[in-house]
Amino acid sequence: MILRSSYFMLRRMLRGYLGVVMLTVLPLVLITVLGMIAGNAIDEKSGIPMMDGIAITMVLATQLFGGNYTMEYVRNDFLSSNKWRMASLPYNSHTHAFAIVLTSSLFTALQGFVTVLFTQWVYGVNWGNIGLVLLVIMGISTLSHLVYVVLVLGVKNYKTAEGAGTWFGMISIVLAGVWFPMPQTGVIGLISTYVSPLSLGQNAVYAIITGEDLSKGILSVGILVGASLVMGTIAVYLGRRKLA
Amino acid sequence: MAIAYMKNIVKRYGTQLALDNVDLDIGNGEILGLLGPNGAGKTTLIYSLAGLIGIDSGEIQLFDKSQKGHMIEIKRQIGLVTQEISIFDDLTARENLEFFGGIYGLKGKALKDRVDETLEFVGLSEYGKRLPTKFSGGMQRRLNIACALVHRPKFLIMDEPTVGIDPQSRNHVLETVRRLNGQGTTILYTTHYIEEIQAISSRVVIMDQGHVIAQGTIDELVEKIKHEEKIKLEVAEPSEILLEKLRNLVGVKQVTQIGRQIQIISRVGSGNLDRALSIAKDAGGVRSVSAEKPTLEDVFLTLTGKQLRDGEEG
Ligand SMILES: Nc1ncnc2c1ncn2[C@@H]1O[C@H](COP(=O)(O)OP(=O)(O)OP(=O)(O)O)[C@@H](O)[C@H]1O
Ligand SMILES: [Mg+2]
Repeated sequence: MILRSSYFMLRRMLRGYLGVVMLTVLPLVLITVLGMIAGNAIDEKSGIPMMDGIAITMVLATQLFGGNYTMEYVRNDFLSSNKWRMASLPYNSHTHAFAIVLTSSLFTALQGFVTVLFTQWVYGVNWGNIGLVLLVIMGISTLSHLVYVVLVLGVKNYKTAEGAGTWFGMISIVLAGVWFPMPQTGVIGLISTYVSPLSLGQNAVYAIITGEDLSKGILSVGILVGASLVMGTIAVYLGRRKLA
Repeated sequence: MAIAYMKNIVKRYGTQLALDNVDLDIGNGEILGLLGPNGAGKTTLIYSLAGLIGIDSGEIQLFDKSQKGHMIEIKRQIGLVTQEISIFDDLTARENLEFFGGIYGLKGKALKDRVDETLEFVGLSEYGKRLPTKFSGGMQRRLNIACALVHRPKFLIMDEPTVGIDPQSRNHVLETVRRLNGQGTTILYTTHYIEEIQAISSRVVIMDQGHVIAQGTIDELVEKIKHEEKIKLEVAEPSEILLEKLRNLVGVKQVTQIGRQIQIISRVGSGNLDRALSIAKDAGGVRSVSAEKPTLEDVFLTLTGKQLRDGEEG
């Protein structure tokens, strides 16, 4: 049943051109423009080309907003008038909710992966082990989708939930020091390095590419997985209450 | 034999009583019309029957089973046509039906054939590959119905399936309902259009403000008010004084006025036709007059004291 439902979810997502534009085309455009500005410069701190750093940040940051898919489908199928038809079916709503989260997070991760391949082939970005990078992308994607599910189920007003999702993405980006550098020492340094899902992903991908700071990368992935488990648990709890 | 019944159903929303001790039987193979104005409690009744909302007290059985512990089994045999269109806008008509059909366990060729049949049944064969966003309101309504039909339910519950569609689509829907019933499907048909009930129903339940106020065949209901006649006058100068005079006639139960049209409900054989005519003549003249047998609409009017649709003619 999960597979069947996921298949239909995928079909629906493939028709959502706006999502594809936001999650694949937009980051590609940004990478291209920023990459042209950066030229062949090398980032002193990490020792990799600026272009590569931009690509990594864009691909991972985009995942933070992927949860919008989940939010939109949960609303459409469970919180709008459609909920009555769904409830009339001999079909477990948890199955459907799970299919939504699963398919949406895989689909956004796939879009991130397409961007990775594109930047590798066209701009020569060195992603290191692409398989591991995909796993990191999936990690962030899963976390993002679970956060958005928790928001849409936990916050009464949909607009508020949607806004909170955007804040989640924005704050993660700020914390990661993308807009302005964050202090790298003390508590703030710790938060900047290990709290924002974006930084966690960056830590992991840098470790994959450079082979350095491996323990930092592994710890980051661990935190990502742990946070997803926590969010998943909350999502299941809220789901049982709201989607009975 | 009853395919479903509800007994002493009470449902409150906060302090508001949406269903007040409702009793209802739905016989196997019938088209039961559920008629009531806005807010009567029709949708609430349907949702409790389909097990979608909890009730405060009372008893519901479907297919000789109580809801508790049998809901999945019951749901497999029910089709619900929701009042608001509930289809996936991002799936084609065909994919919508495939999705819903699949949930009932249909697959492969059986599913494909059933989807074809259902599209044909609601007259959407040529539109299977299109997205419902490109559909007219009537076509969306028909797809909305098709989604509840694809698993061939024994019992189809339709909540105002013709709201806001053109006459042609409406006739198509009514025809579909008749054909389904001909194939043995039991149907609960909710509407606030009396003409629809008259066109398809074998029996009617009239609801108002959470109460079932009457039920029976159309003839039985009309029989209840057969001691009444309806006089329609078109007068030259309608006035409050004229209406008051008409109301004061012995045997007159109700006088309503829309523009120049005055409708009088009066006891049969009271001789009020002549009296009303002469009063109206004195008050400026009569343009036309007619006396009619009561209709279902009049039953409704008599029982509830109000028109079915507020401020709407027809
Ligand atoms: N979820 C709800 N919360 C509070 N009140 C409700 C809710 N749903 C319905 N009601 C109230 O219960 C009463 C019955 O509503 P219901 O929707 O069952 O009527 P209806 O006969 O289907 O009307 P309509 O023809 O407009 O569809 C109405 O007064 C309505 O305002
Ligand atoms: Mg209703």
